[in-house]
Amino acid sequence: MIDISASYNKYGFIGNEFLTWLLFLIENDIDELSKINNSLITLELGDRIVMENIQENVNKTITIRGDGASLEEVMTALGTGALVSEINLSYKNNDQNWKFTLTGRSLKLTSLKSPKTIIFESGNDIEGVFLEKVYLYITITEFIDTFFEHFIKIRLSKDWIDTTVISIKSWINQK
Amino acid sequence: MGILSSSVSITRYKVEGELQKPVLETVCSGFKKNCINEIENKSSDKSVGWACFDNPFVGNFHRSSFLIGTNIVVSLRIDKKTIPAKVVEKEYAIEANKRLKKSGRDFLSKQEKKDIKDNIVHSLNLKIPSIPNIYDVVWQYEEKTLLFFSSMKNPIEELESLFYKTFSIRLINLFPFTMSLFKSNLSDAEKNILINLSPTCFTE
Repeated sequence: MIDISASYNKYGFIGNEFLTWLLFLIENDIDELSKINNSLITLELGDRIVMENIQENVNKTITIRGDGASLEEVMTALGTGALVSEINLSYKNNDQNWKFTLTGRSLKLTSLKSPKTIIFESGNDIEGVFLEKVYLYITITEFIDTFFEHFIKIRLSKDWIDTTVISIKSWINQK
Repeated sequence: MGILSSSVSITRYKVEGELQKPVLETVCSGFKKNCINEIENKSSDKSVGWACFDNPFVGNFHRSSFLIGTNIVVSLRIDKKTIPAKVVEKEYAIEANKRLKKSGRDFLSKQEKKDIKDNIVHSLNLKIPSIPNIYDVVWQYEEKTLLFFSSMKNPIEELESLFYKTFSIRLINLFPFTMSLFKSNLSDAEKNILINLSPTCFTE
């Protein structure tokens, strides 16, 4: 029997590995992300990345800010064994743009700005705006789910160690 | 933080279990029974309950107040009274001084001090207004999913507890492990690998 509440901390690393994998694909293989989710037009780094290093029981957090979140500092942190624990992203799909921060450990979405909806002028319009907003929130959560589901399948397969980890290591060592 | 705000935070849940049919009547009655209790002019310092999404301060629950499309929409309202510690300290000093003068003693027992403080907090709670906080909830019953528009620890705990108290069904917070287990269509063999998973080191 799995204790769900204890699993939050025990398996917290899965979320950080997911965000690190996502960053790796954004920087190196955006086509792969488009194959996973064909609605993807662009997915770009926002202005903030938090890196967490939990190696050797020392929990160290570094916050990197700035447009494109200064990849140099991110790479340095990755080189010391840190993983991405929070990432600010911008997702474009046709004319619509979502900006949000995704937290690895919890998969919570914070500071989510969804595409603009019509401005309501009367009570009846609120229902329409509400439904549109919910649709936009569901769209972004499903978008994340698609990537997470793809990630976890790879993470649990032999390909993770045989291919993905080798590619990520080589990317980290290259910089 | 509201659904219609320009910037929101979202915590996601899987809803485990089903409600007694007819579902909407059960939902409505659950919201009514566990709606927010006003604590103005009362000595309570906190109240947690459901409130209508479209009118969280005076609304009454009926089907059209919580059903938008196929979404069950409600607000979690947390009212809290916060008395500044320095106000309690000041009132205590005044009252303790009065008691000492009246009794002619130069000290108060531990119990007397406690009683004075309790009385002060009680009377201040009767006077001060509570501060309401509203957090929206969108429950997609058929999909068994629920979106909670906050990422803060305290409202999350209050939601999980009030939801269970209201409907006797559990909310499962969706984080990477539970997402994998409940939403990623893993085979039994993959679930077994998941349970025994350990962190990857990318630097060796």
